[in-house]
Amino acid sequence: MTRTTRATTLRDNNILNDGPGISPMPWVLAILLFITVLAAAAGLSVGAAAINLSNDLAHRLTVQIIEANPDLRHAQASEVARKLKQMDQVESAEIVDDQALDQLVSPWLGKDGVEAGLPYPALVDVTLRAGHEGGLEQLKTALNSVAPSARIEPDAQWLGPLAQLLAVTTWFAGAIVVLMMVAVAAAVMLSARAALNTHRSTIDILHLMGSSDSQIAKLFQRRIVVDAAISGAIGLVGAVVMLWVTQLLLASLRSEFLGAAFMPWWVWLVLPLLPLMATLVANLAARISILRALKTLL
Amino acid sequence: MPSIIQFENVGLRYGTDAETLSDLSFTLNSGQFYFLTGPSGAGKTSLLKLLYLAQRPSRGHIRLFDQDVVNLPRTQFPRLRRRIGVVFQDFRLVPHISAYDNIALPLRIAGVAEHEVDVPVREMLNWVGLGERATARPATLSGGEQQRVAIARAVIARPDILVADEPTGNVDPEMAHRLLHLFDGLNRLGTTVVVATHDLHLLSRVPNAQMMRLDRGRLADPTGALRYPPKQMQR
Repeated sequence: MTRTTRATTLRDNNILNDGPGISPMPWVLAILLFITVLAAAAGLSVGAAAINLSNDLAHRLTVQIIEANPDLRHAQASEVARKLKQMDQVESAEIVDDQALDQLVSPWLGKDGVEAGLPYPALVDVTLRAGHEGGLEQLKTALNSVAPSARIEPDAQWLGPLAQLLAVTTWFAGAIVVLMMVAVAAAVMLSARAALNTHRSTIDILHLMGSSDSQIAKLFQRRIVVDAAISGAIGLVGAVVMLWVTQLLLASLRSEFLGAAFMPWWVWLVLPLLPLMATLVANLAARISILRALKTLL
Repeated sequence: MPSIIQFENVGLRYGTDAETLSDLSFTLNSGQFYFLTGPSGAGKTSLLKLLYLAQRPSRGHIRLFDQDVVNLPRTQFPRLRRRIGVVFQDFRLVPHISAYDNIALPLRIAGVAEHEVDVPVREMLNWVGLGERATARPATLSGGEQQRVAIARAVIARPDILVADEPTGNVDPEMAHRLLHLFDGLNRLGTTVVVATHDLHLLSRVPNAQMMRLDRGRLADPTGALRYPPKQMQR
């Protein structure tokens, strides 16, 4: 007979049998993974939206021309737009037409307010070329010569807090994922301890026949890894179905704002990594807790 | 003959109770056959536990295979335990696996390749008369059958020391005779055998066996009624 001196792997052969009862551990892991996948999907989508928004905002600004005389205001707006288009750092400069302005302010002023012909400022939407985001003073100086009342407002100034909120939300989602992984590890440790107690007599027999702690730990690890993998798959499938339905509903709304919540394609590829990560965490947690417990035995 | 086990002033105490074993000093030689006798509660099972490394002594020194097991790190125990076959008084079979897999356990623990496990396990099953019950789980076996599985499991890996606690307690006289014959055969192949038993008739079945008698946790001098006092007993 050929014998190895290294720590060999014992074939399971049902040595550890949990009996007819159903262990709650796989279901707990499935629920944890379901929540983890949802949190990660939300975090990654919002994170992607925040990055897109920040990139957009960094290149965009609005020029306001505050002039009571409507003719002069329109003339200055046209001149500002023309001047901007001539500048190297400007990619585009478009005057917001009166109809669009009316739509913009109507939620605050109401239909009557809009029809009253209030002298609200003319607006020019400006998109800067990449790498020219810093030259606002130069822009201001140039525009003052054609429209002394022109006020430049980078979009980042008023949409920046929203981008920050999205970024913070992403971090929160990341924290939830980390916490869920900690919860997976804790659930596995509790389960492993319970399994050790259940199989204490079998462990004693294996020890007395010469099993090493590592061999015994592997028996438990195999069980726990299989449970974690199946639970992870169940949690992932449940979460993906929910996300898919949500995406379909969002698409049917055709909302520009809610469109930001669409998951980028790469998020779908990242999500299956979470159950794999959870399985690794479960394996590690099981090994650590079992080896620690076995050390207390002779 | 080289010594394989040495006890020196060994005592064993469970918790804060009085010592179960006291002042045990003896040497067991390699390749010998020993019977351990004594009344119930004398400490036979406790002494065997020290031999098969289920307990460390509360005091004294034990050398096993030339290793000081009192101070040996527990990570070294598996290597020594694989050289010891044990027949437990309560069999201690793994309940969820078949008789075949129970007998195969020591080989698998020792890392014997799976394709080399089948032949010796089948041979052992046939030898203990359980060839037809290979797939039976322990709960479906009678007490005697379970004991035979336990014995087969203890000897299959050809241990250097075989420790048996009342191995013939649940078998009929014919099977008891066959088991002792097996132990004797293993002993002739060089295995040191230590059998704890109440059954004094067994002593006559192994002519070359030596005897140790325990009484209230101490090694007692053999009475005139018992043959073959252990020659290696010291002090």
